Amino acid sequence: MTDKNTTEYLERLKSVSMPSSVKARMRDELSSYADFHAPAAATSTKTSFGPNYFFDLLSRNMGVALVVLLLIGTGSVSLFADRLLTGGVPQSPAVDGPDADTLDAVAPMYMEIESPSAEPSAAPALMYSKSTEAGSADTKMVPRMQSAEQLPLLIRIQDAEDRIARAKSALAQSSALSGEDKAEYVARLDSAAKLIADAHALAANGSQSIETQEHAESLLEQGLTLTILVEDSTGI
Amino acid sequence: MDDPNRFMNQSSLKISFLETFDTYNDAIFRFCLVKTSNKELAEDLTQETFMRYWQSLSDGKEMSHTRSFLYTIANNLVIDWYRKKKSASLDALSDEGFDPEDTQLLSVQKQAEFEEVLSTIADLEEKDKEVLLLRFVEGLNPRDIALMHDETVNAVSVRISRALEKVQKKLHV
Repeated sequence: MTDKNTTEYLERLKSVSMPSSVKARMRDELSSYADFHAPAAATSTKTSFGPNYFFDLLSRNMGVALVVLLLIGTGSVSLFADRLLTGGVPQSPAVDGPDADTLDAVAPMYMEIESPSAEPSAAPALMYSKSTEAGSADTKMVPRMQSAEQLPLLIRIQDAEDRIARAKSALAQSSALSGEDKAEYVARLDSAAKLIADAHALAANGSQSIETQEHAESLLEQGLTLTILVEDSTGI
Repeated sequence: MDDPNRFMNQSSLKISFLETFDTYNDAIFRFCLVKTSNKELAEDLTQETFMRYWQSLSDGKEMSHTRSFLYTIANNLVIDWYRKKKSASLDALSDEGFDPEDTQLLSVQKQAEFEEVLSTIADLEEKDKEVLLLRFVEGLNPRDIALMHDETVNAVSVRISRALEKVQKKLHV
């Protein structure tokens, strides 16, 4: 029998599938499970614009809301936005009309609310640099974003490494498992540790691409899953 | 780093999850069925696999290798089940035979074919059985299988080749 015939022989297994009724039932149960175990990030960032939204906003951020109200009331929103985009520093030509005084009075208040310790001319320029033309502010922004992106991943990788070390220690001390079982679980933790070490190597690379970053995230995820499965199985 | 899932609301994340289920449920079921020879158990393990997958998704994890990740979860669940139950080994279960009547999955002819293939590969080592399934039934490439098994691509290719030879020998006998 040739290789081709052998593979065709094995491919007969492709015809095996779950009955439709079982699939439908399983899908319903998984759907309910997903509803019940809603993702924390999604629910915490969920925003609704219901009838109480405005009052919720007021209660949560009273200071900023009052400034917004004041600006809307005096018709100065667009002028104020112009000043922010240029760095919050009065650089535009003198504003005609009665709103200029209000604007000058409100702008310092806004700066205090947003960033009490920041230098008024520097911080907003960096924050809004992407909305303005490309320039030195943009080039300054890049390394700050990179370090902010890498840090959580590296911390999570470190946490995972600590977690594996703790799991190994607990396994070694466990009296409920046989030596053979312990060896098997330790081997699985070693596999997890290797995945996470690979993720660490990728994440520590300063010139990583988005794909590399995603690969590191994926490796970390797989390593963590292996670790969690061992923890669940052994009760450690 | 901003996680794309963070910006997915519950509804879109759930839709994505259910699409993943629709795409891979048969593959995971076959995987569990070949490894356990037990239809009900394979169904339970398939469902449990997707529940674990949802837990990872809802934790905001991004999956770049969804299928490999699902097989990894399923494989560990199969191993854990056997360990917890302290039951017979996979080989012993295979010796007991696979009852096609129990599956109620296919036509009589298809069931007979499935039983024949399963009995042919029953004596193979678990990893050999697994790589044959993943390579020739599920269509994974050696690189994906290597990622799952934490082996090199060459090692997986050699394993596939040797497992194939064993099947050929059995078919000639």
